[in-house]
Amino acid sequence: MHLSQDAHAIVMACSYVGIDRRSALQPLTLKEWNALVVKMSDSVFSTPTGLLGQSAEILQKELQLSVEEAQRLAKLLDRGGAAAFALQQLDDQGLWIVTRADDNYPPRFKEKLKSQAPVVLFGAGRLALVDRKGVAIVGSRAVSENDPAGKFTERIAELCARDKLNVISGGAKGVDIISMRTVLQRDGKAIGVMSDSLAKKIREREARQYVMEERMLLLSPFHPDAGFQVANAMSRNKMIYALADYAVVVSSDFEKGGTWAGAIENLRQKYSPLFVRTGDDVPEGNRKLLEKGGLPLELHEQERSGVSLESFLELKSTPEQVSLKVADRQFDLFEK
Amino acid sequence: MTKEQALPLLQQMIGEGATFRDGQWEVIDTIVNKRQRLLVVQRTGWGKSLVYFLATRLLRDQNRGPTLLISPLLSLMRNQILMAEKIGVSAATINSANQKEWSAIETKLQNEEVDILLISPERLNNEHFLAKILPAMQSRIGLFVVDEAHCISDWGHDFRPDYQRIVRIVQQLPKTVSVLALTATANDRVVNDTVKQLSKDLQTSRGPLMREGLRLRNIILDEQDERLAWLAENLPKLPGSGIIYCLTVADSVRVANWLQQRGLAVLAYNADMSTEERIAAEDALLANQVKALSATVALGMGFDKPDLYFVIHFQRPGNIVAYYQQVGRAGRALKTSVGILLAGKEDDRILNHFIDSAFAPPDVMEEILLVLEKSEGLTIRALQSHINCSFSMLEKALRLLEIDGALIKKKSAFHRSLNPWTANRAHYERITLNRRLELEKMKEYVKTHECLMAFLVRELSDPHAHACGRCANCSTPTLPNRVSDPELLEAARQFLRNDFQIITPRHQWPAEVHLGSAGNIPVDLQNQEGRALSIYDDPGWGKLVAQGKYRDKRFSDILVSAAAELITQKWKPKPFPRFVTAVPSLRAVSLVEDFAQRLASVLKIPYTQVISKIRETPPQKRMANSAHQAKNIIDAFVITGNVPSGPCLLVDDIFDSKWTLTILGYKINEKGGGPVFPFTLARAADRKTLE
Repeated sequence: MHLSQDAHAIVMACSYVGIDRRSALQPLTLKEWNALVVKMSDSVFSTPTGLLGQSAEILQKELQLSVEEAQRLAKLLDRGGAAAFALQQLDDQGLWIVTRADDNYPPRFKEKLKSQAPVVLFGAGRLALVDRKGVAIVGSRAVSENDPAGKFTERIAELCARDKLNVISGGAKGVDIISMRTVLQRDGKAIGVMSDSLAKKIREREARQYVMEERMLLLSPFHPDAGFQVANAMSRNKMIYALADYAVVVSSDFEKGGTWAGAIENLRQKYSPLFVRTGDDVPEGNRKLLEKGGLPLELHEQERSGVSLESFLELKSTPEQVSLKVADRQFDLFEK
Repeated sequence: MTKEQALPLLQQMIGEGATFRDGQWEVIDTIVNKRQRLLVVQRTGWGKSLVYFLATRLLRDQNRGPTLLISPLLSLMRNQILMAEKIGVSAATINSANQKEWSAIETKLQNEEVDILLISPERLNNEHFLAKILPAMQSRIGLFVVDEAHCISDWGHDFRPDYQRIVRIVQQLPKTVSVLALTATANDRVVNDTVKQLSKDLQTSRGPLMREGLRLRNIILDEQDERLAWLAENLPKLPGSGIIYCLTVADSVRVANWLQQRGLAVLAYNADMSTEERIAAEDALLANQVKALSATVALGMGFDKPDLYFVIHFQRPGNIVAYYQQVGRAGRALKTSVGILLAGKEDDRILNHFIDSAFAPPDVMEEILLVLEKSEGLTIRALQSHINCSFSMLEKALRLLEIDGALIKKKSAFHRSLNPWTANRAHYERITLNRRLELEKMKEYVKTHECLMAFLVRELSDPHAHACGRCANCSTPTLPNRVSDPELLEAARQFLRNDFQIITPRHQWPAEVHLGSAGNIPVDLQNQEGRALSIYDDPGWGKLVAQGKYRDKRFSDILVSAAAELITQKWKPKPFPRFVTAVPSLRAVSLVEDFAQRLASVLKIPYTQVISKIRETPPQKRMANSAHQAKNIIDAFVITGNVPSGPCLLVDDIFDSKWTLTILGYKINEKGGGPVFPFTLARAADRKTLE
């Protein structure tokens, strides 16, 4: 892969690429990098490239850092020689990196997530898939294809395939995989934002095939060899919502679990309009999300409407009352 | 750091009064002061190791990270480490032969006690290296040195796919890491290709290539027996020590054995020997305990004996650059030295075979990827069952695919990666064509009347080529170009005929194919060690076997006598066979059975056919690997009639994978015959190793 100088500097500063697991050296967190960027704008270093090759003393002076901070940064930036091997290993697997400094960095992340947009993204497949419209489908890991929840998930995914919308999800078992697998099997496209084990995922035959066909894009803000950590799983949920035009929560626990936390965050930050599966058998979390502002979604309602999923969701998510004439029927789609 | 400032350091390193050789300081200046990237083309003996050691010392004094040196050969590394220590640069190497020292080296790296780490290109991809060694270097590299950089170019004479790993790493290196690439043998085309691949910021620096004092000579002797006799006659006339280069492992062994028989102290040297054996042979030559090593190209770059008087080529090498490099090992520290090339008739056959088998066919590579795409990780052993291709070809293909990023290796399993891959057929065709052209150029060299040294260095793009005044075309040669002693020639012929082969029994079934239970073959059902009279189509009996099989459709009585003599005078199997049987074919009268009957008659033991072939099989030689070969014949034969009890001589014409002999021997043993002693007229030619 070819990284620009800026991207290279960012990868050195902010990621685990080329850092040995046992090492005490830690890359900069999102918060630390954002703070550094502010300091850079007041300094002689107009771009990240300028930081490369600087001694700790210079960094300390020009960026007003503490001695420890400067030494840490200098050490992070000086590992380019050995990081070349790590970058080559990623390249060998077909994985690439895109950073906030790159032209092809997904614009939606910058627009919706702003300073929370991940600095470094690891990926596999065709990045341009992010330009398509899409629906995020999230939910509990405990759902199977045979549950009503599972069937609901499949149906939404089928509609996405039919209407040429991406399915965006987290790649976890349960709702995530059901939604992604269904849309792909119906010749549609999917984006998976992985919380862990990206490198392992692309060794799976099914996943590899879809990625090579450029119908599935896999992204992760975490190193491809990273294992599962709850905090990571939670923190990537916002990325799923940010990539989508609409979001659908299939099944959520109440006040616990990643789905709940992610949905609450979305309602607060408004990354994308949040729809929630409704009906007699939905879990408590769903009902509470509806109370907190989630929009109810019933499949048969969409089917009766006769319009595309996109139009349906678009109309439901706008606050004005809208009437829709289809053939000789008129529907009132906004329900108080 | 100026040249004047560096001089005391140089003198501290090699001694008072030392000065920089032409071009040495300029290279150091470019790397250390200007922090640029450089390709240095200088003849051997110019002193490149000194240059990168000094550069390392200077960079380390500036608190830069250690130097990483990539070089292909073990022998080089051992010498270099010693030299480095002598001049105050602490060096270490990680290679497959010094595994016991790895953990100590890791600690030293962590403590910043290593200035330069030497590794081979394969190690760049090694899991242990990436996970442990590189992090121990604190992930800092001050200088990246690529030795024998011409190996990067597939236009070069010594293209090594593993060098492509270097190219890819260098492309990922930040500009702050200096790169020094070195080679002694690269013509303009190779230099341009190397620069194109490595880095467009790579500058080039060239030195002159003419070798003073080296006297070149070409002698055409068609037959191997003539060349063996010539060596026996003339080696004693040459002072000092030297190297005799051969094209194949079998030839290197043959030459050594022949010369030893004639009372000359010559050891073989090739890649089939263990590391310890190879080190011992090198040391013996360095200590002047032997007259010469009869070597393949395994005795390679970096082996340095400054007072080597002669380099003789037993066969013509494939291209000018290889010849220049090999003959250039002579006379580095001598006023005169000698380079003699003996060209023979078999050279073309051997060289063309190398060219043909250099690359795995694109179809095979594509097939491998298809198989891997349908799976989630296969070992090379498992792949053999799916793909009809020899083990060594499979290894080559997998290595190329791995370097191209089409597959990844995790533990021992290969996985398809995401990177798309198509075979670049045009590229391979171009390279193959180029290699054939180089073969022709080499033939031109052998026949030329102009100055031999000038011819060589002009091919290497040296603009200063001129008549040397010393070679066989510029002045008068001293040694004869014919064998003068007819008895010696006859002795050489006899020697070639006595060059029998050993057939070691197989002990284990391949994956998924077996008689009885899988895994090991029970000891009492295995064959005994057997014999083959020759190597098919090779000098000696091999040629006669080939003639019998395809031209005459009958193996001559001469071969029967030769076989009988081998069995009764040299081999003498114990207990001596009580009957002879042969591997049958479905044809009415088979060559093998006819031969076996005559052999039995001369040996004065009965011939009984106990085996019957029940179905036709595609020729075994089309089955390219062990699993396929075994599968091809496992149920094709049955035992018919009564098997006499007692030891048996099992005869076939050619052995290759040994599965036919193994399976038939198993069945004969099962039915009460045995022990079974296999005997064949020849061992198949041209397979390097059968797994």
